[in-house]
Amino acid sequence: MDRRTFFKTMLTTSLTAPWFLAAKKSSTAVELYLISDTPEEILPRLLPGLNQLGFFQGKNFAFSQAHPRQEALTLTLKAQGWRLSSPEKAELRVGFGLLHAAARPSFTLIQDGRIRDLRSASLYSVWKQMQSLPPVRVLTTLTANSRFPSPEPGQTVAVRVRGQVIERLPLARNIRRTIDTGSGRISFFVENGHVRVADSTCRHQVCVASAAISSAGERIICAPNQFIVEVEGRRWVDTIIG
Amino acid sequence: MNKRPHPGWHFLRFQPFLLFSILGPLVSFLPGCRPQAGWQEVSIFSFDTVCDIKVYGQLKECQSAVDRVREIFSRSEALFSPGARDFQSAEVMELFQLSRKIHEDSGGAFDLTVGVLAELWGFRSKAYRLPRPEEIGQALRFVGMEKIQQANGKLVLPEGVMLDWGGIAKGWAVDQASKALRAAGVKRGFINAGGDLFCWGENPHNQAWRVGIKHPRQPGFLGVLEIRNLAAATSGDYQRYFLVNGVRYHHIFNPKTGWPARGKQSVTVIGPETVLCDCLATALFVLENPEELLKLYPDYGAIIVDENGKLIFSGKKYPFTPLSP
Repeated sequence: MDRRTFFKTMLTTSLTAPWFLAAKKSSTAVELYLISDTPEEILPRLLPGLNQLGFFQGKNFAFSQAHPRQEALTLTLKAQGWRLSSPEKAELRVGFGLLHAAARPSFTLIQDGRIRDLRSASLYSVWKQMQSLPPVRVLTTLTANSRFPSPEPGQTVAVRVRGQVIERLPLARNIRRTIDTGSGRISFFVENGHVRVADSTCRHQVCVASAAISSAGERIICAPNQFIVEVEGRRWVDTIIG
Repeated sequence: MNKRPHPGWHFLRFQPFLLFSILGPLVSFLPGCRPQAGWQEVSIFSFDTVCDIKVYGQLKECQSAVDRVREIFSRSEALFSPGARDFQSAEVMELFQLSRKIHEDSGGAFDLTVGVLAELWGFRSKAYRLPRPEEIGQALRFVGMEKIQQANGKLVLPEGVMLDWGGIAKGWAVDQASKALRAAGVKRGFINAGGDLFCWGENPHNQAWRVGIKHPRQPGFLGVLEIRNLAAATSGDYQRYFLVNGVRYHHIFNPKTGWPARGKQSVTVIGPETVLCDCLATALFVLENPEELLKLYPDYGAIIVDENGKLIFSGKKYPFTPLSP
Protein backbone atom coordinates (compact mmCIF):
# COMPACT_ATOMS: atom_id res chain seq x y z
CA MET A 1 0.00 0.00 0.00
CA ASP A 2 1.48 3.34 -0.89
CA ARG A 3 1.24 6.41 1.26
CA ARG A 4 -1.55 7.94 -0.71
CA THR A 5 -3.76 4.91 -0.27
CA PHE A 6 -2.82 4.91 3.35
CA PHE A 7 -4.17 8.40 3.85
CA LYS A 8 -7.27 7.61 1.88
CA THR A 9 -7.78 4.62 4.12
CA MET A 10 -7.32 6.71 7.20
CA LEU A 11 -9.82 9.30 6.12
CA THR A 12 -12.45 6.82 5.15
CA THR A 13 -12.05 4.53 8.11
CA SER A 14 -14.75 5.27 10.60
CA LEU A 15 -12.51 4.15 13.40
CA THR A 16 -9.75 6.63 12.78
CA ALA A 17 -11.44 9.45 10.90
CA PRO A 18 -12.83 11.35 13.91
CA TRP A 19 -9.49 11.19 15.62
CA PHE A 20 -7.58 12.21 12.53
CA LEU A 21 -9.87 15.14 11.83
CA ALA A 22 -9.59 16.25 15.43
CA ALA A 23 -5.84 16.29 15.02
CA LYS A 24 -6.19 18.21 11.76
CA LYS A 25 -8.05 21.03 13.50
CA SER A 26 -4.92 22.12 15.27
CA SER A 27 -3.18 22.37 11.94
CA THR A 28 0.06 23.66 13.40
CA ALA A 29 0.68 20.71 15.71
CA VAL A 30 3.67 18.48 15.21
CA GLU A 31 2.56 14.88 14.89
CA LEU A 32 4.29 11.64 14.19
CA TYR A 33 2.27 8.81 12.62
CA LEU A 34 4.04 5.55 13.23
CA ILE A 35 2.80 2.33 11.64
CA SER A 36 4.44 -0.54 13.44
CA ASP A 37 3.42 -3.36 15.75
CA THR A 38 6.56 -2.80 17.80
CA PRO A 39 6.59 1.00 18.27
CA GLU A 40 8.68 0.59 21.42
CA GLU A 41 11.55 -0.68 19.28
CA ILE A 42 11.28 1.99 16.59
CA LEU A 43 10.81 5.03 18.82
CA PRO A 44 14.21 5.01 20.53
CA ARG A 45 15.77 5.10 17.07
CA LEU A 46 13.57 7.98 15.92
CA LEU A 47 13.46 10.28 18.92
CA PRO A 48 17.12 11.40 18.98
CA GLY A 49 16.95 12.31 15.28
CA LEU A 50 13.65 14.15 15.70
CA ASN A 51 15.03 15.86 18.76
CA GLN A 52 17.92 17.21 16.76
CA LEU A 53 15.44 18.76 14.37
CA GLY A 54 13.77 20.47 17.30
CA PHE A 55 10.77 18.18 17.64
CA PHE A 56 9.41 16.37 20.67
CA GLN A 57 11.59 18.09 23.19
CA GLY A 58 10.30 17.92 26.72
CA LYS A 59 10.11 15.81 29.81
CA ASN A 60 6.55 14.61 30.35
CA PHE A 61 4.46 12.23 28.30
CA ALA A 62 0.99 10.74 28.62
CA PHE A 63 -1.27 8.35 26.73
CA SER A 64 -4.30 9.94 25.15
CA GLN A 65 -5.83 6.50 24.48
CA ALA A 66 -5.17 3.03 25.81
CA HIS A 67 -2.41 1.53 23.72
CA PRO A 68 -1.80 -2.21 23.22
CA ARG A 69 1.95 -1.67 23.71
CA GLN A 70 1.46 0.77 26.58
CA GLU A 71 3.73 -0.97 29.07
CA ALA A 72 6.57 -1.50 26.65
CA LEU A 73 6.25 2.08 25.35
CA THR A 74 6.29 3.48 28.89
CA LEU A 75 9.49 1.59 29.67
CA THR A 76 11.10 2.74 26.43
CA LEU A 77 10.22 6.39 26.91
CA LYS A 78 11.33 6.31 30.55
CA ALA A 79 14.66 4.90 29.41
CA GLN A 80 14.89 7.93 27.08
CA GLY A 81 14.49 10.27 30.03
CA TRP A 82 10.74 10.94 29.74
CA ARG A 83 8.37 10.93 32.71
CA LEU A 84 4.81 9.62 32.71
CA SER A 85 2.53 12.48 33.74
CA SER A 86 -1.04 13.69 33.59
CA PRO A 87 -2.28 14.52 30.06
CA GLU A 88 -2.49 18.28 30.86
CA LYS A 89 1.13 18.45 31.87
CA ALA A 90 2.45 16.26 29.08
CA GLU A 91 4.48 17.80 26.26
CA LEU A 92 4.12 14.56 24.36
CA ARG A 93 0.88 12.62 23.97
CA VAL A 94 0.87 9.09 22.68
CA GLY A 95 -2.23 7.85 20.90
CA PHE A 96 -3.36 4.66 19.25
CA GLY A 97 -5.38 3.87 16.17
CA LEU A 98 -6.15 0.75 14.22
CA LEU A 99 -5.87 0.96 10.45
CA HIS A 100 -8.75 -0.33 8.35
CA ALA A 101 -6.33 -2.36 6.25
CA ALA A 102 -2.81 -3.47 7.02
CA ALA A 103 -0.10 -1.12 5.77
CA ARG A 104 3.62 -1.35 5.35
CA PRO A 105 5.42 -0.15 8.50
CA SER A 106 6.56 3.47 8.16
CA PHE A 107 6.41 6.84 9.84
CA THR A 108 5.34 10.31 8.75
CA LEU A 109 5.99 13.60 10.44
CA ILE A 110 3.31 16.23 10.02
CA GLN A 111 4.10 19.78 10.91
CA ASP A 112 1.76 22.71 10.34
CA GLY A 113 -0.59 20.34 8.61
CA ARG A 114 2.07 19.45 6.06
CA ILE A 115 4.30 16.44 5.64
CA ARG A 116 7.80 17.27 6.77
CA ASP A 117 10.51 16.07 4.42
CA LEU A 118 12.99 14.01 6.40
CA ARG A 119 15.32 13.10 3.56
CA SER A 120 18.27 14.94 4.96
CA ALA A 121 17.99 13.35 8.37
CA SER A 122 19.42 10.08 9.61
CA LEU A 123 15.82 9.00 10.03
CA TYR A 124 15.69 7.83 6.46
CA SER A 125 17.69 4.68 7.19
CA VAL A 126 15.16 3.68 9.86
CA TRP A 127 12.34 4.35 7.45
CA LYS A 128 13.93 2.22 4.76
CA GLN A 129 14.43 -0.71 7.11
CA MET A 130 10.84 -0.50 8.30
CA GLN A 131 9.62 -0.77 4.75
CA SER A 132 10.91 -4.32 4.43
CA LEU A 133 8.72 -5.53 7.32
CA PRO A 134 5.34 -7.18 6.73
CA PRO A 135 2.20 -4.97 6.73
CA VAL A 136 0.51 -4.28 10.07
CA ARG A 137 -2.54 -2.39 11.35
CA VAL A 138 -1.17 -0.79 14.54
CA LEU A 139 -0.88 2.98 14.28
CA THR A 140 0.84 4.94 17.04
CA THR A 141 0.61 8.71 17.08
CA LEU A 142 2.89 11.10 18.89
CA THR A 143 1.59 14.64 19.30
CA ALA A 144 3.74 17.42 20.62
CA ASN A 145 2.20 20.07 22.80
CA SER A 146 4.58 22.71 21.73
CA ARG A 147 3.81 23.63 18.19
CA PHE A 148 6.91 25.70 17.60
CA PRO A 149 10.30 24.23 18.23
CA SER A 150 12.79 26.51 19.93
CA PRO A 151 14.64 28.83 17.56
CA GLU A 152 16.86 27.05 15.09
CA PRO A 153 20.52 27.86 14.76
CA GLY A 154 21.03 30.38 11.98
CA GLN A 155 22.96 29.93 8.78
CA THR A 156 24.06 33.38 7.68
CA VAL A 157 24.68 36.79 9.16
CA ALA A 158 23.19 39.83 7.42
CA VAL A 159 24.87 43.16 8.02
CA ARG A 160 22.64 46.16 7.47
CA VAL A 161 23.59 49.82 7.48
CA ARG A 162 20.81 52.40 7.13
CA GLY A 163 18.37 49.62 6.35
CA GLN A 164 20.35 48.24 3.40
CA VAL A 165 22.02 44.84 3.52
CA ILE A 166 25.67 45.55 2.74
CA GLU A 167 27.03 42.07 3.35
CA ARG A 168 26.05 38.49 4.12
CA LEU A 169 28.50 36.27 5.95
CA PRO A 170 28.38 32.56 6.76
CA LEU A 171 27.83 31.92 10.47
CA ALA A 172 30.06 28.89 10.28
CA ARG A 173 33.28 30.81 9.50
CA ASN A 174 35.18 32.91 12.01
CA ILE A 175 35.41 36.45 10.65
CA ARG A 176 36.11 39.92 11.99
CA ARG A 177 34.86 43.06 10.26
CA THR A 178 35.11 46.79 10.83
CA ILE A 179 32.53 48.91 9.08
CA ASP A 180 32.38 52.63 8.52
CA THR A 181 28.69 53.45 8.81
CA GLY A 182 28.90 57.12 7.92
CA SER A 183 27.98 58.11 11.46
CA GLY A 184 30.75 56.13 13.11
CA ARG A 185 32.76 52.93 13.09
CA ILE A 186 31.73 49.56 14.42
CA SER A 187 33.60 46.25 14.66
CA PHE A 188 32.02 42.87 15.09
CA PHE A 189 33.13 39.29 14.83
CA VAL A 190 31.68 35.89 14.05
CA GLU A 191 33.19 33.17 16.21
CA ASN A 192 32.05 29.57 16.67
CA GLY A 193 28.60 30.32 15.31
CA HIS A 194 28.07 33.39 17.51
CA VAL A 195 28.11 37.07 16.55
CA ARG A 196 29.21 39.81 18.92
CA VAL A 197 30.03 43.50 18.56
CA ALA A 198 33.63 44.11 19.66
CA ASP A 199 33.68 47.88 19.71
CA SER A 200 31.86 50.89 18.42
CA THR A 201 32.30 54.64 18.34
CA CYS A 202 28.74 55.19 19.60
CA ARG A 203 28.08 56.94 22.90
CA HIS A 204 26.14 54.44 24.98
CA GLN A 205 27.82 51.22 23.86
CA VAL A 206 24.55 49.29 24.05
CA CYS A 207 25.64 47.19 21.05
CA VAL A 208 28.94 46.27 22.70
CA ALA A 209 27.10 45.23 25.86
CA SER A 210 24.60 43.08 23.91
CA ALA A 211 24.90 39.33 24.40
CA ALA A 212 26.22 37.21 21.53
CA ILE A 213 23.58 36.04 19.07
CA SER A 214 23.31 32.71 17.28
CA SER A 215 19.67 31.75 16.63
CA ALA A 216 17.73 32.67 13.51
CA GLY A 217 16.01 36.02 13.95
CA GLU A 218 18.27 37.33 16.71
CA ARG A 219 20.03 40.62 16.16
CA ILE A 220 22.25 43.27 17.62
CA ILE A 221 21.32 46.87 16.92
CA CYS A 222 23.40 50.00 17.12
CA ALA A 223 20.90 52.82 16.69
CA PRO A 224 23.41 55.73 16.57
CA ASN A 225 25.29 53.96 13.78
CA GLN A 226 22.05 52.77 12.12
CA PHE A 227 23.66 49.36 12.11
CA ILE A 228 22.00 45.95 12.45
CA VAL A 229 23.66 42.58 12.43
CA GLU A 230 21.09 39.79 12.20
CA VAL A 231 21.29 36.01 12.16
CA GLU A 232 19.29 34.60 9.29
CA GLY A 233 17.84 31.15 8.95
CA ARG A 234 14.60 29.25 9.15
CA ARG A 235 12.26 31.07 11.50
CA TRP A 236 9.07 29.97 13.16
CA VAL A 237 7.73 33.42 13.71
CA ASP A 238 7.07 36.42 11.48
CA THR A 239 8.28 38.97 13.97
CA ILE A 240 9.42 39.29 17.57
CA ILE A 241 8.26 41.57 20.36
CA GLY A 242 9.49 42.11 23.88
CA MET B 1 19.13 -1.09 -4.00
CA ASN B 2 15.70 -0.20 -2.94
CA LYS B 3 14.65 2.80 -5.04
CA ARG B 4 11.60 3.58 -3.00
CA PRO B 5 11.01 7.30 -2.80
CA HIS B 6 11.54 9.24 0.31
CA PRO B 7 9.30 9.75 3.37
CA GLY B 8 7.27 12.81 2.99
CA TRP B 9 7.56 13.15 -0.76
CA HIS B 10 6.65 10.18 -2.81
CA PHE B 11 2.93 10.26 -2.26
CA LEU B 12 2.78 13.82 -3.49
CA ARG B 13 3.25 12.48 -7.02
CA PHE B 14 0.37 12.12 -9.46
CA GLN B 15 -1.77 14.66 -7.71
CA PRO B 16 -3.47 16.78 -10.32
CA PHE B 17 -4.43 19.47 -7.81
CA LEU B 18 -0.76 20.22 -7.31
CA LEU B 19 -0.40 20.99 -11.00
CA PHE B 20 -3.37 23.36 -10.89
CA SER B 21 -2.23 25.03 -7.73
CA ILE B 22 1.05 25.88 -9.47
CA LEU B 23 -0.35 26.76 -12.88
CA GLY B 24 -3.45 28.57 -11.63
CA PRO B 25 -1.79 31.70 -10.22
CA LEU B 26 0.63 31.84 -13.15
CA VAL B 27 -2.15 31.83 -15.73
CA SER B 28 -4.24 34.34 -13.83
CA PHE B 29 -1.35 36.81 -13.85
CA LEU B 30 -0.61 36.55 -17.56
CA PRO B 31 -3.50 38.35 -19.32
CA GLY B 32 -3.19 41.74 -17.63
CA CYS B 33 0.60 41.61 -17.40
CA ARG B 34 0.19 43.35 -14.07
CA PRO B 35 3.30 44.46 -12.27
CA GLN B 36 4.12 41.82 -9.74
CA ALA B 37 3.06 42.29 -6.14
CA GLY B 38 5.24 40.89 -3.40
CA TRP B 39 6.36 41.23 0.18
CA GLN B 40 8.57 44.20 0.98
CA GLU B 41 10.56 44.39 4.18
CA VAL B 42 12.20 47.53 5.50
CA SER B 43 13.78 48.50 8.81
CA ILE B 44 13.89 52.14 9.78
CA PHE B 45 15.52 53.72 12.80
CA SER B 46 13.15 55.69 14.94
CA PHE B 47 12.34 56.23 18.64
CA ASP B 48 15.87 55.14 19.51
CA THR B 49 15.10 51.67 18.21
CA VAL B 50 14.46 49.73 15.02
CA CYS B 51 11.08 49.71 13.40
CA ASP B 52 10.40 46.76 11.12
CA ILE B 53 7.83 47.09 8.40
CA LYS B 54 6.64 44.24 6.24
CA VAL B 55 3.89 44.90 3.73
CA TYR B 56 2.39 43.17 0.74
CA GLY B 57 1.86 45.06 -2.47
CA GLN B 58 3.48 46.37 -5.59
CA LEU B 59 6.93 47.81 -5.18
CA LYS B 60 5.91 51.42 -5.86
CA GLU B 61 2.95 51.26 -3.48
CA CYS B 62 5.12 49.75 -0.79
CA GLN B 63 7.82 52.35 -1.19
CA SER B 64 5.38 55.20 -0.78
CA ALA B 65 3.83 53.30 2.15
CA VAL B 66 7.20 53.12 3.87
CA ASP B 67 7.83 56.81 3.19
CA ARG B 68 4.50 57.56 4.82
CA VAL B 69 5.44 55.52 7.90
CA ARG B 70 8.77 57.31 8.07
CA GLU B 71 6.99 60.66 8.01
CA ILE B 72 4.55 59.67 10.76
CA PHE B 73 7.33 58.33 12.93
CA SER B 74 9.58 61.33 12.64
CA ARG B 75 6.65 63.63 13.42
CA SER B 76 5.75 61.55 16.49
CA GLU B 77 9.35 61.45 17.57
CA ALA B 78 9.60 65.23 17.39
CA LEU B 79 6.42 65.64 19.43
CA PHE B 80 6.99 63.01 22.08
CA SER B 81 10.71 62.58 22.64
CA PRO B 82 12.08 63.50 26.09
CA GLY B 83 12.51 67.24 26.30
CA ALA B 84 9.95 68.04 23.56
CA ARG B 85 8.27 71.33 24.37
CA ASP B 86 5.09 71.09 22.31
CA PHE B 87 2.16 71.28 24.73
CA GLN B 88 -0.61 72.37 22.41
CA SER B 89 -0.71 70.51 19.11
CA ALA B 90 -3.76 68.35 18.43
CA GLU B 91 -1.71 65.15 18.66
CA VAL B 92 -0.25 66.05 22.05
CA MET B 93 -3.66 66.98 23.41
CA GLU B 94 -5.22 63.77 22.10
CA LEU B 95 -2.55 61.59 23.63
CA PHE B 96 -2.70 63.53 26.87
CA GLN B 97 -6.45 62.92 27.21
CA LEU B 98 -5.92 59.22 26.62
CA SER B 99 -3.06 59.12 29.12
CA ARG B 100 -5.21 60.80 31.72
CA LYS B 101 -7.97 58.24 31.19
CA ILE B 102 -5.56 55.34 31.63
CA HIS B 103 -4.06 57.12 34.64
CA GLU B 104 -7.49 57.30 36.25
CA ASP B 105 -8.55 53.77 35.24
CA SER B 106 -5.32 52.30 36.60
CA GLY B 107 -5.52 54.17 39.90
CA GLY B 108 -2.39 56.15 39.06
CA ALA B 109 -0.23 53.21 37.93
CA PHE B 110 0.23 54.82 34.53
CA ASP B 111 1.61 58.31 34.82
CA LEU B 112 3.17 60.62 32.24
CA THR B 113 5.12 62.55 34.84
CA VAL B 114 7.60 59.78 35.69
CA GLY B 115 10.07 61.67 33.46
CA VAL B 116 11.74 63.13 36.51
CA LEU B 117 12.35 59.62 37.89
CA ALA B 118 13.84 58.42 34.60
CA GLU B 119 16.15 61.43 34.76
CA LEU B 120 17.08 60.84 38.40
CA TRP B 121 17.92 57.17 37.89
CA GLY B 122 20.01 58.00 34.83
CA PHE B 123 17.83 56.31 32.22
CA ARG B 124 17.83 59.41 30.03
CA SER B 125 21.58 59.99 29.96
CA LYS B 126 22.32 56.25 30.37
CA ALA B 127 24.62 57.23 33.24
CA TYR B 128 22.72 54.88 35.57
CA ARG B 129 22.85 55.48 39.29
CA LEU B 130 21.11 54.35 42.44
CA PRO B 131 19.65 57.51 44.03
CA ARG B 132 19.50 58.06 47.77
CA PRO B 133 16.01 57.65 49.32
CA GLU B 134 15.79 61.39 50.08
CA GLU B 135 16.52 62.19 46.44
CA ILE B 136 13.65 59.92 45.41
CA GLY B 137 11.42 61.64 47.98
CA GLN B 138 12.36 65.00 46.49
CA ALA B 139 11.68 63.82 42.94
CA LEU B 140 8.25 62.43 43.88
CA ARG B 141 7.11 66.01 44.51
CA PHE B 142 7.15 66.44 40.74
CA VAL B 143 5.29 63.21 39.97
CA GLY B 144 1.51 63.03 39.50
CA MET B 145 -0.62 63.75 36.47
CA GLU B 146 -2.99 65.89 38.52
CA LYS B 147 -0.17 68.48 38.62
CA ILE B 148 -0.64 69.17 34.90
CA GLN B 149 -3.17 71.90 34.19
CA GLN B 150 -4.98 72.70 30.97
CA ALA B 151 -5.58 76.30 29.95
CA ASN B 152 -6.67 77.68 26.57
CA GLY B 153 -6.23 74.29 24.93
CA LYS B 154 -2.67 74.07 26.21
CA LEU B 155 -0.96 71.93 28.82
CA VAL B 156 0.61 73.89 31.62
CA LEU B 157 3.43 72.12 33.43
CA PRO B 158 4.63 73.39 36.80
CA GLU B 159 8.37 73.96 37.10
CA GLY B 160 10.26 70.69 37.49
CA VAL B 161 7.55 68.39 36.06
CA MET B 162 8.81 66.33 33.13
CA LEU B 163 6.69 64.34 30.73
CA ASP B 164 7.69 60.85 29.69
CA TRP B 165 5.67 59.70 26.70
CA GLY B 166 7.70 56.47 26.51
CA GLY B 167 4.82 54.25 27.63
CA ILE B 168 2.37 55.41 24.98
CA ALA B 169 3.86 57.37 22.05
CA LYS B 170 5.36 54.47 20.12
CA GLY B 171 2.10 52.54 20.22
CA TRP B 172 0.25 55.62 19.05
CA ALA B 173 2.66 56.14 16.15
CA VAL B 174 2.24 52.50 15.10
CA ASP B 175 -1.54 52.96 15.05
CA GLN B 176 -1.27 56.14 12.97
CA ALA B 177 1.10 54.46 10.53
CA SER B 178 -0.92 51.26 10.17
CA LYS B 179 -4.13 53.24 9.67
CA ALA B 180 -2.45 55.28 6.95
CA LEU B 181 -1.19 52.14 5.22
CA ARG B 182 -4.54 50.40 5.33
CA ALA B 183 -6.23 53.53 4.03
CA ALA B 184 -3.70 53.54 1.17
CA GLY B 185 -4.84 50.03 0.26
CA VAL B 186 -2.12 47.88 1.82
CA LYS B 187 -4.07 44.78 2.76
CA ARG B 188 -1.48 42.71 4.58
CA GLY B 189 1.49 43.54 6.73
CA PHE B 190 2.86 44.49 10.08
CA ILE B 191 4.65 47.38 11.75
CA ASN B 192 6.83 46.49 14.70
CA ALA B 193 8.39 49.50 16.38
CA GLY B 194 10.78 47.96 18.88
CA GLY B 195 8.10 45.70 20.33
CA ASP B 196 4.97 47.75 19.69
CA LEU B 197 3.30 45.77 16.97
CA PHE B 198 0.27 46.00 14.78
CA CYS B 199 -0.41 43.32 12.17
CA TRP B 200 -3.22 43.10 9.68
CA GLY B 201 -4.35 40.67 7.01
CA GLU B 202 -2.53 37.39 6.77
CA ASN B 203 1.10 36.41 6.89
CA PRO B 204 3.07 35.16 3.83
CA HIS B 205 1.78 31.62 4.50
CA ASN B 206 -1.82 32.87 4.44
CA GLN B 207 -2.18 32.23 8.13
CA ALA B 208 -2.38 34.40 11.20
CA TRP B 209 0.81 36.34 11.97
CA ARG B 210 3.11 34.47 14.29
CA VAL B 211 4.58 36.78 16.84
CA GLY B 212 7.33 35.49 19.10
CA ILE B 213 7.38 37.03 22.56
CA LYS B 214 10.89 37.26 23.92
CA HIS B 215 11.66 35.32 27.07
CA PRO B 216 12.50 37.79 29.83
CA ARG B 217 15.41 35.77 31.16
CA GLN B 218 16.60 33.40 28.43
CA PRO B 219 17.47 33.55 24.78
CA GLY B 220 14.52 32.44 22.66
CA PHE B 221 10.82 32.84 23.11
CA LEU B 222 8.36 32.71 25.94
CA GLY B 223 5.80 31.62 23.39
CA VAL B 224 4.17 32.43 20.11
CA LEU B 225 1.06 34.51 19.50
CA GLU B 226 -1.05 33.87 16.42
CA ILE B 227 -2.97 37.02 15.63
CA ARG B 228 -4.41 39.00 12.76
CA ASN B 229 -5.76 42.58 12.73
CA LEU B 230 -4.51 42.97 16.27
CA ALA B 231 -1.85 44.79 18.20
CA ALA B 232 0.54 43.63 20.90
CA ALA B 233 3.07 45.37 23.11
CA THR B 234 5.43 44.23 25.84
CA SER B 235 6.83 45.98 28.90
CA GLY B 236 9.72 44.17 30.52
CA ASP B 237 12.30 44.68 33.23
CA TYR B 238 14.96 43.32 30.86
CA GLN B 239 14.61 45.99 28.18
CA ARG B 240 16.48 48.78 29.94
CA TYR B 241 18.06 48.10 33.29
CA PHE B 242 21.23 48.11 35.33
CA LEU B 243 22.42 45.89 38.12
CA VAL B 244 23.81 46.94 41.50
CA ASN B 245 24.95 44.13 43.80
CA GLY B 246 22.91 41.67 41.74
CA VAL B 247 19.69 43.71 42.08
CA ARG B 248 18.01 44.71 38.85
CA TYR B 249 16.87 48.33 38.50
CA HIS B 250 14.78 48.84 35.37
CA HIS B 251 13.03 51.68 33.59
CA ILE B 252 9.37 51.08 34.55
CA PHE B 253 8.73 53.13 37.64
CA ASN B 254 6.01 52.87 40.21
CA PRO B 255 4.82 56.51 40.32
CA LYS B 256 3.76 56.08 43.95
CA THR B 257 7.12 54.92 45.32
CA GLY B 258 9.59 56.33 42.82
CA TRP B 259 11.29 52.92 42.58
CA PRO B 260 11.26 50.48 39.67
CA ALA B 261 8.06 48.41 39.90
CA ARG B 262 8.56 44.96 41.43
CA GLY B 263 6.83 41.62 41.08
CA LYS B 264 6.95 41.03 37.34
CA GLN B 265 9.45 40.24 34.61
CA SER B 266 7.31 41.05 31.62
CA VAL B 267 3.78 42.00 30.60
CA THR B 268 2.49 41.59 27.06
CA VAL B 269 -0.89 43.06 26.17
CA ILE B 270 -2.85 42.03 23.07
CA GLY B 271 -5.85 43.89 21.69
CA PRO B 272 -7.26 46.00 18.87
CA GLU B 273 -5.24 49.20 19.38
CA THR B 274 -1.47 49.44 19.74
CA VAL B 275 -1.62 52.62 21.79
CA LEU B 276 -3.79 50.94 24.43
CA CYS B 277 -1.65 47.78 24.42
CA ASP B 278 1.37 49.99 24.99
CA CYS B 279 0.07 51.93 27.98
CA LEU B 280 -1.89 49.03 29.48
CA ALA B 281 1.31 46.96 29.47
CA THR B 282 3.09 49.72 31.39
CA ALA B 283 0.19 50.11 33.84
CA LEU B 284 -0.18 46.35 34.39
CA PHE B 285 3.54 46.06 35.03
CA VAL B 286 3.09 48.41 37.98
CA LEU B 287 -0.30 47.15 39.22
CA GLU B 288 -0.62 44.29 41.66
CA ASN B 289 -4.05 43.21 40.51
CA PRO B 290 -4.26 43.17 36.70
CA GLU B 291 -7.83 41.81 36.53
CA GLU B 292 -9.48 45.02 37.69
CA LEU B 293 -7.95 47.23 35.02
CA LEU B 294 -8.59 44.70 32.27
CA LYS B 295 -12.23 44.46 33.26
CA LEU B 296 -12.52 48.02 31.97
CA TYR B 297 -10.92 46.97 28.66
CA PRO B 298 -12.72 43.73 27.77
CA ASP B 299 -11.09 43.46 24.32
CA TYR B 300 -7.61 43.32 25.81
CA GLY B 301 -5.72 40.39 27.25
CA ALA B 302 -2.41 40.15 29.07
CA ILE B 303 0.32 37.54 29.32
CA ILE B 304 2.27 38.21 32.48
CA VAL B 305 5.50 36.63 33.70
CA ASP B 306 5.74 37.11 37.44
CA GLU B 307 8.96 37.48 39.41
CA ASN B 308 9.28 33.70 39.74
CA GLY B 309 8.92 33.17 36.01
CA LYS B 310 5.34 31.90 36.28
CA LEU B 311 2.97 32.64 33.39
CA ILE B 312 -0.29 34.37 34.28
CA PHE B 313 -3.07 35.06 31.80
CA SER B 314 -5.50 37.87 32.46
CA GLY B 315 -8.40 39.42 30.57
CA LYS B 316 -9.37 38.31 27.08
CA LYS B 317 -7.70 35.15 25.77
CA TYR B 318 -5.83 35.26 22.48
CA PRO B 319 -4.20 32.29 20.70
CA PHE B 320 -0.87 31.85 22.45
CA THR B 321 1.36 28.80 22.54
CA PRO B 322 3.81 28.81 25.42
CA LEU B 323 7.16 27.18 24.69
CA SER B 324 8.50 24.93 27.40
CA PRO B 325 11.81 26.30 28.69
